[in-house]
Amino acid sequence: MKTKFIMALAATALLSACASDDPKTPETPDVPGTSTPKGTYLLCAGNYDQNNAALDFFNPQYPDELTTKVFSSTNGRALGSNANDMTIHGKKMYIVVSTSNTLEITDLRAKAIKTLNFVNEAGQPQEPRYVTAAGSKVYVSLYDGNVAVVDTASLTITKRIPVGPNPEELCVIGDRLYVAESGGANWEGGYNNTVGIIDLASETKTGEITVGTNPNRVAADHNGNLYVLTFGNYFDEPNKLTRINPATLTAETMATASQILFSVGSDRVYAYCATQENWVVTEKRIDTYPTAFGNVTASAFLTDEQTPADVYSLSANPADNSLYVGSTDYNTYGSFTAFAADGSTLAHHGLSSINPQGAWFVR
Amino acid sequence: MLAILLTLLSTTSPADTVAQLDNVEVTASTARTVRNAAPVQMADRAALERLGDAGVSDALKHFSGVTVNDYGGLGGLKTVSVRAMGAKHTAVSYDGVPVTDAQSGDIDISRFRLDNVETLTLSTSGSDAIFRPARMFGTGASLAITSRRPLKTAGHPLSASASVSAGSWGYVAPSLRADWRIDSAGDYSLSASAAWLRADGAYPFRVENGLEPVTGRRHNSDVESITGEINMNLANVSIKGYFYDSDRGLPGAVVFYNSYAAERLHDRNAFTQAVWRFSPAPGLTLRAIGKFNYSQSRYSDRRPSYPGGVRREDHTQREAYLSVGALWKPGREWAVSLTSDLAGNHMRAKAPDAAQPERLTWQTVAAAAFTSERWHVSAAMLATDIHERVRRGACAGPLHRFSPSVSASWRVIPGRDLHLRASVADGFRVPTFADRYYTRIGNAALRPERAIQSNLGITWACAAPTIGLSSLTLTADGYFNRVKDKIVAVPTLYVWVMRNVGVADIGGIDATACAQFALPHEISLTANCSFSWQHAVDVTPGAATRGHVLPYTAAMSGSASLSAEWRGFSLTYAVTAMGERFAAYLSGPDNRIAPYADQSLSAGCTFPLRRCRLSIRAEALNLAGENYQVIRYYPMPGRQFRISTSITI
Repeated sequence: MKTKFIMALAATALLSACASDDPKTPETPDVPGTSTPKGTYLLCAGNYDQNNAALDFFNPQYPDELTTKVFSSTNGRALGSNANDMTIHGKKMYIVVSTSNTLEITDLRAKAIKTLNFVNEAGQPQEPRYVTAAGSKVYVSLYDGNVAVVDTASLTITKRIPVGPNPEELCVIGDRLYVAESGGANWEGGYNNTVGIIDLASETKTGEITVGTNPNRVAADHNGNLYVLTFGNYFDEPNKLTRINPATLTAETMATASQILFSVGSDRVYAYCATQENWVVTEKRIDTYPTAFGNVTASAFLTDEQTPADVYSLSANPADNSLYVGSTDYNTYGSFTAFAADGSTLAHHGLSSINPQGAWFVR
Repeated sequence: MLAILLTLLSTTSPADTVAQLDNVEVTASTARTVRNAAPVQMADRAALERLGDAGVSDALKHFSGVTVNDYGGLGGLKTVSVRAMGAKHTAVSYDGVPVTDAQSGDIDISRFRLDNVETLTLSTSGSDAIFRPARMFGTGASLAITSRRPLKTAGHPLSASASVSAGSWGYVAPSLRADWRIDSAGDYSLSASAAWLRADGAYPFRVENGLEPVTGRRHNSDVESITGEINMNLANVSIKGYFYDSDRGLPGAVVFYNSYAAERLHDRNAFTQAVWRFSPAPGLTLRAIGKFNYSQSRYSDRRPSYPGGVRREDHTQREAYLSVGALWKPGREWAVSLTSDLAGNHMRAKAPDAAQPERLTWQTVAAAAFTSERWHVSAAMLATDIHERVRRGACAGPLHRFSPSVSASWRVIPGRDLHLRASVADGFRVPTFADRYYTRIGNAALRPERAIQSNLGITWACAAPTIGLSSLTLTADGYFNRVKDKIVAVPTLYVWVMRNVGVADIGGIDATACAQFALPHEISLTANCSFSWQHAVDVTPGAATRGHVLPYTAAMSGSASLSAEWRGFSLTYAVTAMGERFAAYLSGPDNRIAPYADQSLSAGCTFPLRRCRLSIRAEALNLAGENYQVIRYYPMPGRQFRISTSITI
């Protein structure tokens, strides 16, 4: 018994320790004098099944500092395996950990309030992928072909809405939810090519939009436009970024490249485009696009030399249009570089795990 | 007194042994370990019996420089990596004939049951055994497994044995064996054996997770397998038929908050091999080997996100193999050999866009050895020619390669067994079918991985019968390997791709000690000890991993065993230990895997029962009961017990 107590203490101490090159080791995000932390959470997925997902916190007012492993040091347990997405809604944060099959619901300081598991009737994990929130509900896409509805008051799963195969990212525009139905597990069948439309009042799927092959990411801008990023077939069909007017369902192509990532700001859309030959990036850049439908003129934001190497994620802060670019080489820990809206560098930090999925902003 | 037996196996080349005595059976385990110009470690039947009814992988953990990649569980996959080169650089042979898997390149050694093994010999490149199939040359290390010799009971031509083991977590393993000595000289014999094994594998485990450790029982960790073998020795020819079928669950890593595991793997393997040896003239030996191999692998995983709720990967492989060689020993000092192998492999996968590759491998090795009272020098040059063909997609180009190796050992003091040895070898391993053609991940343009190895060592064997020390063997070897063009699965943004990235430098010291005591009152003691120190570093130019220690390489590891025998009783304590290692390139506390020591105790006795011989053995494995991890988040079973009995007629 005594040894177990000591071990637990040692384990907590171990989990609380930061990476050796990091100066700060507080237990909660560094916020001098205020109750609500303001800053940016950076989520790292970790390896597929190695329980090394991590949540780090960056406050732009203190650009030289990074608070690492906020979830595990606050809660005394690991975040899990393969943290894929998160969202900050109201006073809570919702973190999706795919391989661990959980949705961690926490306060703004990453203190866990509740953990939800997604299991079907046969007891199999449904594998949550992405999360978005609107009003009093949080919506989680489940890789087995459902969208789960979570009530933010009771923190329970109230419904599972059947959608197309292998849904990925989802977003809300007005009273509709749009979910990318990738068909990603069906590479032998050529993937899928639709975005599902869910009516939020009835909580049922009411239609779909046909897009390119293997749609993975969707997002909305302030004008109510829908952006869809399709990954193609990883072979001869490239990535494509498309903007769709959800009312008329007209679509326009914004970019086509071997690899595209994008993020929507308040008045612009950032897009990272890279050309790859034999899986090696030969050219890369980050551009901005206006959010008005009908205008697909790219403006340069970062040139090839200015764009960080091994870009893995892109997250724009709607408050000031700063851009957080996550990089990874899949072997050593990920890192992020923050750029201001004018392209100047704000900060660069190594993160505490592999594969930075993005940045989420506490307002 | 230690009785020395040299077994003139039809599969052991005459050049392996230094002393040859007519009509006497002699094992050369001590002689080989000490006199071989490149490190060789050997465990004979007696040594294997002392370790108890464990698998081949458990016996190999007692060898120095060996890492067994153990994914836990009683049915878990186990592969052997020597000196951090990786399991694909270890060539395995069974009774002298290479065992290959062209798809994965790994040989899962859990299929070899220890009670059917006579000897295990692990050699690094540059071994003195110059008369082996060409395929055993040019690799980083070779593991030669020989099957159990027929038991010879005086007078009786027919002998049979039945045994059954039972142990923790539903482990049951009965086996049967029959040997028929057809003629009195022992030139003609027939033996057949069959074994069945099953286990639930639902062992309790604990994995740390801060304040909420994960405890539970492993599930989907069951295994059921059957093995059958027939051997026929007909004077110059020996023929073997072998069948193996196993169905096991793959429990997977312990994933926090999600204990679901539904992967299944069904393997089936059948082969027949024939070895013909013939001596047309004094000093000249000819050998021909033929083998047909069929293996089938069926993998399935059930998850609701797969189309149809299940993902299957089935493939079958067939191989036809022929090896022809000659060994010429014109005098006592020189031996020259020339062996050529031709192998055709093909693989059929069920996936609709599978490449369905075929490969023709032609390898020829010319080797020579010079032995004198104080020197033993051997050199080999392997020429490899590989051609591939696919039904779909890009195909790899032809491969032509020369792989030389040279080794020498020098007896420092005439008449004493103190040797200095040095060896250098340039080996490689061909990309497997999976590396080249696996859907979406394969890369047909892969080059082979190269492993340049060098070794410098000292060995000493002596005895002091006056104090009861019948033999003492000490070896110490320092080595340096450089592996280039390492084939690594590199994750890109969406998919993993196999690429030749990576250069690794591996340096280390392997030391072994073995002592045997013959004490009064018929007590004999055997003590074995092995220790390895290793530093394996990534030196890939321009990579972020450069300068970092390779994952899963422990700086220090070792093993020890102490065995006491008295008449038919034996008691053995054994321990294998591994120092800290890291699960990823960054060696911080996040990736650290704690050191462990796996201790076991086994006791047995053998006694005659009327006309039969009965033996009983009981063992306790992993005495400390710790769920240590070899691969991170794959906890090993805690304390387990096993009891086995066998009766031999």
